[in-house]
Amino acid sequence: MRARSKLIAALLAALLCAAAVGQEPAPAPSAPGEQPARQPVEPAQRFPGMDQGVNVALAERAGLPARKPYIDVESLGDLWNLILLTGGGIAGFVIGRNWDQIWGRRKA
Amino acid sequence: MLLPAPAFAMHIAEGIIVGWPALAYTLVALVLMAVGSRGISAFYREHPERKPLIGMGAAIIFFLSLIPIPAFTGTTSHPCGTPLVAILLGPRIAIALTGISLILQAAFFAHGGFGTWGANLVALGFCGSVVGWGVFWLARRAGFSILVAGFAGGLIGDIAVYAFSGLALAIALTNAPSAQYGFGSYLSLIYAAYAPTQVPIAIGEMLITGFALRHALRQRPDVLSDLRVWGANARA
Repeated sequence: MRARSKLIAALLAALLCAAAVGQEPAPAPSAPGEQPARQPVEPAQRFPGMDQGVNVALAERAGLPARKPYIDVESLGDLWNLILLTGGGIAGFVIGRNWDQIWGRRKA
Repeated sequence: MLLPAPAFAMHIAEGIIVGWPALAYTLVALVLMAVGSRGISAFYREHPERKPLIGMGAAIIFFLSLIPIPAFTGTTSHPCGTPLVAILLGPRIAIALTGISLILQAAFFAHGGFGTWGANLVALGFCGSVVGWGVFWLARRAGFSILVAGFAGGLIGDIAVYAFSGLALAIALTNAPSAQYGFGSYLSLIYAAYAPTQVPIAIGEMLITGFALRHALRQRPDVLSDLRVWGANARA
């Protein structure tokens, strides 16, 4: 029980720290038109999410470029597919395993 | 090049909301998580035989809020799942499950962020759950069928999520170092950009929620009655 409390406290502290230091201030351009040193997240070429197409694009123009995720799974090549498929597979298994509790006909 | 790019929708990416606003959202979200955890404990006490539904609710939110669905506008967005889970299990539980899903998505799926976890939880968890659940109950009390009430809850809940996301983003952009517009202009711009993609997705969420609830009522009316969703003991 105490170990679980410590774990929860550590998680909460980490979230607060992440919120506080989510991004260091963007460096001011030294000359008009010069880009900040931070590299913005590259938008997807086709079928971008609204996150990329709207949120990130507007934020970049306003001087708040999105930072890369702390754990950059996108750079892991095919492992990224593995992570997506595993996550989707586990979610699908859990939904399917318990489907009949709400949507299955009651067994006689 | 053929790998699908991680393109998500409602989740505000890491680094867009920073500093005190991010801290404030996180604190609010932690309070919501505490309330939600108590809701889960109460659910376990009331329905010990239905514990697996909590896992299923988490899986529904996790999956639906992770899947990018292409819209005819050439962009993608995703449904929320929180209105459906809130109607079935209660808004407090849906909020807590959303918080857990968002942490997993930020950690392993490049989806949202830890610094924006609070803002995303308030949008997806609080707004989606409370508004979706509230509209469902209002429609139920007004005498509509479970299908229509589910349609209303899913549609308005989904729109509420994106309305709050746009609002949070507009506030952040207005206070950004190189803000180009005022708050009203940013808000109009964001809503105008969201609408063409999100309205079809919201209609999809409306259909999923309504038909899922109607199917549950046809198959397991005893469960919906036990969960106080529909029937004589429904919360109203």
